[in-house]
Amino acid sequence: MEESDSEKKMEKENLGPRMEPPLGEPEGSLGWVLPNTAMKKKVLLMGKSGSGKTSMRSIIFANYIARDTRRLGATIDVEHSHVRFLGNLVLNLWDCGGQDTFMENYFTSQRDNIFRNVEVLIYVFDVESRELEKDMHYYQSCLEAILQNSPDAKIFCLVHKMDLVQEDQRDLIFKEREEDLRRLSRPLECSCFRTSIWDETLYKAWSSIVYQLIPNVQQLEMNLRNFAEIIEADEVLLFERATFLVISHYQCKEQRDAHRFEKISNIIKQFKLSCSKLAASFQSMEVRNSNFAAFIDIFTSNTYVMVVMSDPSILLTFNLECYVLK
Amino acid sequence: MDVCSPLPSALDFVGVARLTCRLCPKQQQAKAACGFLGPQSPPAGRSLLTLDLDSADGDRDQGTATCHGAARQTRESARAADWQERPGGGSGLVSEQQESWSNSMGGASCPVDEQQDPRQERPGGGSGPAAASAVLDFSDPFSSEVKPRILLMGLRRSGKSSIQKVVFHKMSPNETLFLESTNKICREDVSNSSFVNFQIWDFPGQIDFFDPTFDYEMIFRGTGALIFVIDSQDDYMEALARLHLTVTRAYKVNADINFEVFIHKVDGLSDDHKIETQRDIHQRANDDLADAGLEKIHLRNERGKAMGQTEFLFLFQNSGIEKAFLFDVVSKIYIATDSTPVDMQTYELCCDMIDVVIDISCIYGLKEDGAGTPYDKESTAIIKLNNTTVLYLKEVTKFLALVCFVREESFERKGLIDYNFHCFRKAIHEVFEVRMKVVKSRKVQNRLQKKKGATPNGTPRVLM
Repeated sequence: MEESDSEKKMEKENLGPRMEPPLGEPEGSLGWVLPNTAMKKKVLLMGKSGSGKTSMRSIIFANYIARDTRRLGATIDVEHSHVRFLGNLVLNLWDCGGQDTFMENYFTSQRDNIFRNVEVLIYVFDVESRELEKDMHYYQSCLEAILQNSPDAKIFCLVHKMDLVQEDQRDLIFKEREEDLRRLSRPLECSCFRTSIWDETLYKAWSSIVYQLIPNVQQLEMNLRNFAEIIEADEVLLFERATFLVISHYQCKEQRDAHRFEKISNIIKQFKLSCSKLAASFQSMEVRNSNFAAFIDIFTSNTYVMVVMSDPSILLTFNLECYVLK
Repeated sequence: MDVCSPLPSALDFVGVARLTCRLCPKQQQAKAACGFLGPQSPPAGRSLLTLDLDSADGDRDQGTATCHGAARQTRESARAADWQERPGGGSGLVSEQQESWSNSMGGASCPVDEQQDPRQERPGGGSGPAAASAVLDFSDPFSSEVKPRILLMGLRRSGKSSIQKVVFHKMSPNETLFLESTNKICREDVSNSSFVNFQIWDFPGQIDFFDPTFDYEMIFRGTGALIFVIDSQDDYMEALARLHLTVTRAYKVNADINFEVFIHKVDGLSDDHKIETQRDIHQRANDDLADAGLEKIHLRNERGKAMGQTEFLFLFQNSGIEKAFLFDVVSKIYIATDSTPVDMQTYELCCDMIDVVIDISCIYGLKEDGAGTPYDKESTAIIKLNNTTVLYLKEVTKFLALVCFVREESFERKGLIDYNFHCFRKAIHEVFEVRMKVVKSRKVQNRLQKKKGATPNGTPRVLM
């Protein structure tokens, strides 16, 4: 996945590269198809206007920091972006502008076009919205359209902007919303997450979403397990290189913090962005104290790996370019 | 002697104090918070204490303390209306307490043990001053040193309390949204969790210099630095007027105060606007002062200055280290650096690195039962960047870390760097040991002096 540099990304254009047809095929020819090795998955991002869809997408895929999203304007109609993930997976993100006129349009004239072949539907709810009825109405219309056109799609509901809610009320409010949404979604099943661009919850939601899209993820996990057992690590995490979303993990013993995956994603992503201010990026990292040692290094061309050992006396140098993940 | 007047509703404040009773030279520790949900009088025979203290943990406790079974009125109900709820952190008004305390004191009474600067105002009557200074002797070993004091002043909602919380209490900037207005002067002693050792006084936004309960002379006299916070997103003319008033008043009392102006909330401005605002404020403020004939006051507009300079030995240059900082880990203020110039980006990168290290250590670095600290003696981190620079962090003391930039080629001689670092670390430890010895001996001396000065019935004589 290419990362646009700062001038480009401030403009409203595709937040990803344009797909080029393979060599030899005339450009513009309708007959060209992406090479078989690249899998294309369509992801619909919908929700009311101003709920945070474009902001989330920018942070996860286009290296925005949370503060920069302030400058984003309203999305007009649908914005397409192609995000290359893990080398051979292409996420075709449809960021659908949420203003009323557009929404009406999606359910009528553009219905087939939008709702066909969808792998994942992500619906974003603004937790502070004053028009709950209307939100639910649109959501249900989406579900109807999905049921007709892509009944196998996976549904994710993100209750967004949770940072605006007082901390002690967050769980309560989220639980209420989750119940309502589950109920409304029947017979379809939906997974709900609470998110905010200001903390790690965003990474948790998107990790889960992306996890659903990775083909043969079981194989990935098995390979990771083998690897971890060989080096006798306590925990091994596999990150996608550009977004730093955790796509797989292995642990051999209980760890104390259940939210550590998204926290680590957040921490490292933020550091990566700070480095980029100096026009540099980090290649590897080693952190130790008397109780642990953690190593983060490039694993394959598309992934980073993090290895955590609790016996810090083991000195580890990675040289794993030869280890190819299938 | 047992007057406990009813307190108005819902007052919480937090603090821990040690009280010294003059009748029995025992010390009682009291966790005090008075929270009453209605005008009820506390049960007779119990005393309620209102204290202004530095509670590092911000615990809210309901508690009382008694001495000789007598209750002491802590304040009159009229004043009680001034106390308001303050989330997390010590709150309280120094002089008012003392005043009410001394008002309520009859004959024998329990003075509050001021753990901090002994030069507190005692505008109240009677036993105030004597009691207060007598209490010095029972204080904590390190607090017999007078800690430098920094005042945080500025208009309402300019961001003073947020600055303090974010820098010294590791609060995330987003959480400061929920901080409530400071109503009274809040004193924080920053030394438990950080190397930097001073008191910070956080003032409420609108303070009246002519209010007799605040003895500004005393406050300013004991101050080392005054930080004035200006909200750059607001119209700052009023702030400038206040700045002028504050600075002139403070300067009259104490010409040695360092004045700093923080132009806050610049994240919302564009870069050009930032520079323009800074220049404008600098210009106007200095003009105002020049007009008042106080040209000698030099306002500085920087943030995060180094607190002091120690020498970095050129030994480091031989190790191939390009730049090195000695950072205070909690507040991310650097205590010292080498002689090459510091640029903001390098500094920020080091701060970010410290963040990463501490955050990761918090997740994985504690023992199974949660014991241990994330930052401990063996904390190390190596970050390799793709521009052949390596960032190297090593723990120096409990609060300090060395963060350096090394070239990749030089890093191959890691053994040499580690050895040099080892020498450096030993040297730093020796410096601190010397300091501890000095303080301890001072304390011992104090004790000896006091013993000599004690009167037969155990009441310590007032120290001059």
